[in-house]
Amino acid sequence: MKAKVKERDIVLKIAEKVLEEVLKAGYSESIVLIDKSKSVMVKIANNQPSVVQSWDETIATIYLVKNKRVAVVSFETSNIENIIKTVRKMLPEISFIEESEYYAPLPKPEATSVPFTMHRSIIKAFENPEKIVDDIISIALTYNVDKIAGMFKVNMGVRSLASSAGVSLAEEHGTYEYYIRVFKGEGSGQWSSAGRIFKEKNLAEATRIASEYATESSKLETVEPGVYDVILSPMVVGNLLNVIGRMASALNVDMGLSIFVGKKVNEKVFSNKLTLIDDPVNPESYGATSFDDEGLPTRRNIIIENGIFKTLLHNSKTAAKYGVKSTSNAGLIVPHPWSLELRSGELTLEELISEVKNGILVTNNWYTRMQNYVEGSFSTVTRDALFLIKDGRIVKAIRKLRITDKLLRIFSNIKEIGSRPYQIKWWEVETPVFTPYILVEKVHTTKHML
Amino acid sequence: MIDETLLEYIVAKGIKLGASYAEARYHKHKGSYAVTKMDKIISVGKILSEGVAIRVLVKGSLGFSSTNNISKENLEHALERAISRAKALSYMYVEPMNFAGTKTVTRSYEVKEYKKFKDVPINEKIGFYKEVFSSLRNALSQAKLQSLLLEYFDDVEEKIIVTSEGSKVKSSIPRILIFYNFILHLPEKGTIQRMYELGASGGLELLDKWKVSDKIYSEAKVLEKVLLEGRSPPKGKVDVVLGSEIVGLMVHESAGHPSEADRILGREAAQAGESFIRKGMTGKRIGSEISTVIDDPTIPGSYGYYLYDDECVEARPKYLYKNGIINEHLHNRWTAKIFKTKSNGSARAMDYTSEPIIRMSNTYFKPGDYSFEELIEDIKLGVYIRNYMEWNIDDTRWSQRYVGLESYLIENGEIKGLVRNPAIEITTKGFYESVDAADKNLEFHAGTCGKGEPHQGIPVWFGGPNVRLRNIILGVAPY
Repeated sequence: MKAKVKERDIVLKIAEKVLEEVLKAGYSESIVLIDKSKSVMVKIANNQPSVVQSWDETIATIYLVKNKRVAVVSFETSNIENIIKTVRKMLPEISFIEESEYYAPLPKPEATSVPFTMHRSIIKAFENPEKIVDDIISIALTYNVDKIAGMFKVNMGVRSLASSAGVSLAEEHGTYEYYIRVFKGEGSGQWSSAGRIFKEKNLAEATRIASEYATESSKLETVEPGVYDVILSPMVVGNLLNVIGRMASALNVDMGLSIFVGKKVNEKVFSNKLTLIDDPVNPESYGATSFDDEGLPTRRNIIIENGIFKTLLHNSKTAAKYGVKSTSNAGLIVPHPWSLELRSGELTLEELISEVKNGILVTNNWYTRMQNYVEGSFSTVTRDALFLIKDGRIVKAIRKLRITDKLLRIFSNIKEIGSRPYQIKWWEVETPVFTPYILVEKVHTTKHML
Repeated sequence: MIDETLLEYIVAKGIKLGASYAEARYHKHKGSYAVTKMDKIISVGKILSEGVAIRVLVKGSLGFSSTNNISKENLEHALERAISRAKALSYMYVEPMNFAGTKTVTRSYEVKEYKKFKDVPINEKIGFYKEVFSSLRNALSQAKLQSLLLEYFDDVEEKIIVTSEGSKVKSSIPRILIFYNFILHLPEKGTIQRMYELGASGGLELLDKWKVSDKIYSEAKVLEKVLLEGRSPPKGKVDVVLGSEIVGLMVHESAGHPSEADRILGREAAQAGESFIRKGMTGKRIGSEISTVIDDPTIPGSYGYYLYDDECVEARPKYLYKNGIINEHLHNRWTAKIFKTKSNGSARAMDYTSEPIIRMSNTYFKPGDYSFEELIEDIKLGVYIRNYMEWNIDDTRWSQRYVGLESYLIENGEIKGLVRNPAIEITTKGFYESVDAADKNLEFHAGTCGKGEPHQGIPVWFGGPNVRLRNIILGVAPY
């Protein structure tokens, strides 16, 4: 325990030292963020490892202000002298640019939340990822599947922050991330598990779900695209809510990269079934953190409540521009969500399926792209198991379709929300999302015509 | 910079510790950036990323270790980690890994910056942002400019790669990237949005060549007209001419990616997916005689330029599809061994945190000998799609969709008015088989291609001429 405290103190001291040099160089305000971490990742392909990767790195990000002119410098180097040299050289350059429209004085220290510590299960997983990977492969192969691919990663480190407004904070972080894709015949299934607390049973469950979807979709039939009621799995909802989460950033709204452009607080935007929260203080979350990049204590923010738009995500700069308080979502420049959560409903997956007369269960997707960010028109490609539902029952596994619709329509047409949330974080879901399955009515699907 | 003998020491020590192959790559990025919104600066900054990546093969198991603390002691630790972790997993390899042989080389090369990044302060580098804003405003007669985002990045990428087989390659490549996004709005017509990237290797002289303001001015003018006058695309089967920007993206997605041999072997199956191309499919027909797709890292000034890959293998043009036939895949030394061939120099790593994996460089559809007028002269009813916003492709690189932004109706061999949101949704074979002509106008476009775990974004060009497709049914976005 003593050794861990020491590491936290050391990293904070480095941040404070760099801050001192920055202010000495002549900047009027500054935030110094230093993250020192180590990670290990085992990639799996064709039922065996394909590579084991290890990282040991120090990342310094420094926010600099001189007379309301703003710069951010990013360093991936352990060479502190080099960092300070670059910051000094930046001063005359920053003086020539104009004042930033988003300048706001740095927030003063506030009563901090209890910092997160590294969970002992993470330290243990870091020491022996080889055994965990061996277990995963063995479990998957018990489902009589053709092959598996995936990834298991553990990260641990310390994040520290020192600001000229008097904030001095440090926090440990430790997380795991796992996803697996399983193939059987023509079919495949994919699932993920991630979090701050490593539990073998979560990996086993993700492996089981991916394997079952693979075996249940091993023979495929073709259906015509059209308008269907669609059950979206947590993997799919996670992907789409990442888009929504980014769009909820006040700066992205200002940049025109959001369906929330022109939306007013308390305006109805989505189905009243939908409540979307950003919750970095959830101790289970992969994205858990006690302070944001400006040193403000993080908190649970309701973005959408029962379909009503409640708040954008702000740092102190966008908050000043909007005349509101920061939601503790800094981002030195761009506010962002930490850990999204879709409030659960009451139906099991079986009950959701029983609600569908003519529909599709989509278990995974990828490659979501927008035609127009303001209007929210997009398409995304389904991948892995896809099932046709008729009169409340799954009748067959079907070939890929494309969901081609508008985000506002999709989230306005939510009919039911499942009861069991899953924490999803993988290649296509960058910000972790806690979400159940959801049932959406009248979703447009398309397919290649030649 | 790093003392090169330290890298040599590390790879030699790797062999002593039981690796059959060891490689150490010093990898540095140094650059600056600026972000502007409308006619205002949001922020400027600098980036510096510097570290060493070590890769080892131990008993057929691949280990990778990366650090940005480049002291001798720490590099030794990184090496030991790579070796011990790889060793611990080696018993799980049903098929142990091995690398195909390659020539031992010692080379050094660089791309020149005629106007050096370091000599010019950031305010001068991005001095054009106000001009871009005013020219965009001037281009519009009725539509309102809802948003303009402009980002500037410059970067010098320096590498020293040393292998235990005696190869050493040093390189220095400067690049610039400009990204812009603008949205035009007309209350009764909605919005239209354009995103584009300009990128190349070279110095600040590229900015003079690009004339960003002029480009955005003419694009905004046309897109306002699309908002005002754009009609629905024609129904039923029509001929379609696709512009260079869209053709470039299509060959990147449906020839480049599926030709990555690691993807063909399933190494990326849980991430970007597999490939419709299976081992043994070279020689099979995928399209018409016109369909030739080349990936060539050696194009001077290109955004995806390199002469040696990150396994020290010499780069060369690869004909992925040749006259409609699947011809050659993109290989690294591992896939080359399995395919019983030699690596064609396609291994690239984004930075010191990244393992080298198979990547594209500059991928393009080979131009034909038509003029644009000849391409459209016999089209009775068709659509010319010049550029796009939305696109995607399934994870085997077979079924893809592109939605046009600036698109025109073609009637009796002439361009007649604008169409809005035509969507082409087509299989890879459907596309390459339907191409019956290409014009001479080869253009390239810049992009950042994503692949790998952790995700690696690397600079590429994609390009081609205008091409003609016969008998295509178009959809209309979003449905």
